[in-house]
Amino acid sequence: MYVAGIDIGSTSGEALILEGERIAGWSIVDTGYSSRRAAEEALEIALKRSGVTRDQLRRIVATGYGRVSVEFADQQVTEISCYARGAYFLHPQVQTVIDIGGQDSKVVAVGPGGKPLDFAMNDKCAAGTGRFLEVIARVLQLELSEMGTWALRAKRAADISSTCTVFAESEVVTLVADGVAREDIVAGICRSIARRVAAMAARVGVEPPVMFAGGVARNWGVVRALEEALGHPLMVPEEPQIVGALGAALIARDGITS
Amino acid sequence: MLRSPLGLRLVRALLAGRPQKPHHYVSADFFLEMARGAYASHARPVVWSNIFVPSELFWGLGIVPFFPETWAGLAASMGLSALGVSQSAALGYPVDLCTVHRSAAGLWASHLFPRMDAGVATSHICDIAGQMISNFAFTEGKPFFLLDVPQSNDGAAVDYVAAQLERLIEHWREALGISFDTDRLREAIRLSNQARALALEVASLREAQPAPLRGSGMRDQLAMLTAMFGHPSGIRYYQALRDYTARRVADGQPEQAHQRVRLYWMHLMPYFESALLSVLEDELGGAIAWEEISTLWWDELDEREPLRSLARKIVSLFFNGPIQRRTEMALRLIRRYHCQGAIHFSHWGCRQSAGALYVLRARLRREGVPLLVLDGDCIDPSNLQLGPLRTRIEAFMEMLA
Repeated sequence: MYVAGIDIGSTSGEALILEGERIAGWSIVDTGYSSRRAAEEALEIALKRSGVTRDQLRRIVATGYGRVSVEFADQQVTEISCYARGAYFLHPQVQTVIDIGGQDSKVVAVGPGGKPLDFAMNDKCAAGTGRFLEVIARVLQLELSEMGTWALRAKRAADISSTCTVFAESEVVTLVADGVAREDIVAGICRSIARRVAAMAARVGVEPPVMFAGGVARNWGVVRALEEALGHPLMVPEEPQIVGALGAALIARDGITS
Repeated sequence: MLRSPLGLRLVRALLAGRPQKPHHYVSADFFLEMARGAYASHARPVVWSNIFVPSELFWGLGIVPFFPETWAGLAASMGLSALGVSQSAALGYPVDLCTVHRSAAGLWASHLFPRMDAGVATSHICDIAGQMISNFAFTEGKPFFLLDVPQSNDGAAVDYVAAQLERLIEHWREALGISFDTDRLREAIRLSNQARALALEVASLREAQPAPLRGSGMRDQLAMLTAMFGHPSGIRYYQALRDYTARRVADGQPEQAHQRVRLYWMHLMPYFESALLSVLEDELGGAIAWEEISTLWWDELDEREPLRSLARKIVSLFFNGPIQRRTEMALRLIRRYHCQGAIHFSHWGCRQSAGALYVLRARLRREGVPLLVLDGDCIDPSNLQLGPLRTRIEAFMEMLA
């Protein structure tokens, strides 16, 4: 019995095919301008990689901010529930999951069975999200994927005081003009995100073990800065971007078995 | 009144069929009468006040009260908030100030408010209200009286406020030329007590499961609680609401058919048309069993001691004093109405409510009551983004279900 989970975020869309406890295949695509198109594309790729046809899928659950656009899904569930469920599947001991995505970040307290007990999300601005990193990467003429490596080379992280993305961008321009090393600026930006997310996490109450998921979890600069800010080591799954889609697939499976 | 754009809009809104239920007709009549007294007639003085000066005082002294906060809410429900908010920016008010007061300032600057003969405000809960009314009075060249309200609600605090109420009446006698008739004030106290008894019956009827009334339909309750008491309309309104609620309970026909989770709503709700509440109620089955702002907070008034009674009413408001008054009341109401969770709507710029969130969350958590905080705006639709709020509400409902 195959089920699918589809997670449509602001930057990327993921699809995952599950057969019982086995992940049969998954995919990551750019969301682009159409959530619906991204969902179709992600699902087709995941099906192909799994060697499964669409007809074999018993149930599809969509999540993420674009979930309402996935009209062919049998059910839409929020990313809060899906991240909790996906994280619990990967590590049943997990107590807290932090997700930093393209346009939002969230912290979920995970209860028995992967049920969310409480959560917090970032407020109405891009600070503490992947978008913040994208903006700064552009200013520093770096690829987003390189930022983590640059941050780990820093000798002394620059102090970025602004939490607002636009003001932080101005601050970075000033630091560049002052000759501050690029790696120190990147490390400062990672710290800025970590401070913001740690403050949000404190609202929920951080209980270890803590899992870090979402696209930004690939950035080791943010991982280290967040570990420092939280005072806890972070578990980063091998594929941090598919945790939401995995949770959606598990909820799809639950929907059949119940 | 029809010469006033706000008055005209109000009449239009009322004629457009806004009142749908028996109690709505009573409240519409009441606010039209108030508007007529404030805008059209010069028979009685018009005093601008914040909403926490007891309405019994105005009705008992033959004064027409005008509450800028209430009228800002009414203007928002009529789609006029953008005008008020943008005009307030021209007056130099900062954008992080509460939009209720910014909108009121903008509407005043746009000459949409009635004449003002005097201003009054209490110092407690929300000090922006007092400062705004004092600004209006200063600019209009009218007298202003500030009632200083202590944080405690003991006998000394009651005496302190009662003495100021005496001075306030003396001040109005001199400034407005009103005569103070003790019997008239006592009559207002009697009317208030009768309305109170009826409002308490409504509160009891709303314990029913499923919840007989839609919480979103009760967004105007703060206006009723702070303006109608002491006026005959208060009795008519709560009688109509009581009978309507009782019928819904007896017939087993709740206003909201689909109810999955019972909720306690804290602080204000959007006054303008917003999908936020219909998503919660109709799509997700969240039943707001009780709202904090519907809570009648004062004891029965004693007509033998009208001013001391009104002073007690002022100091006993649950928003005043230590946060524990509010948190313990919340827990009592959550239990009474069998709520599975609470939602706090943090209205933009309203520090007195959102400032309590840390303690509130911790206290509710200790009792196993999940709390969802929604950051929004009850006046300015441009400051209420449905997308992010929808995810929060859906996730909260998934968590509770």
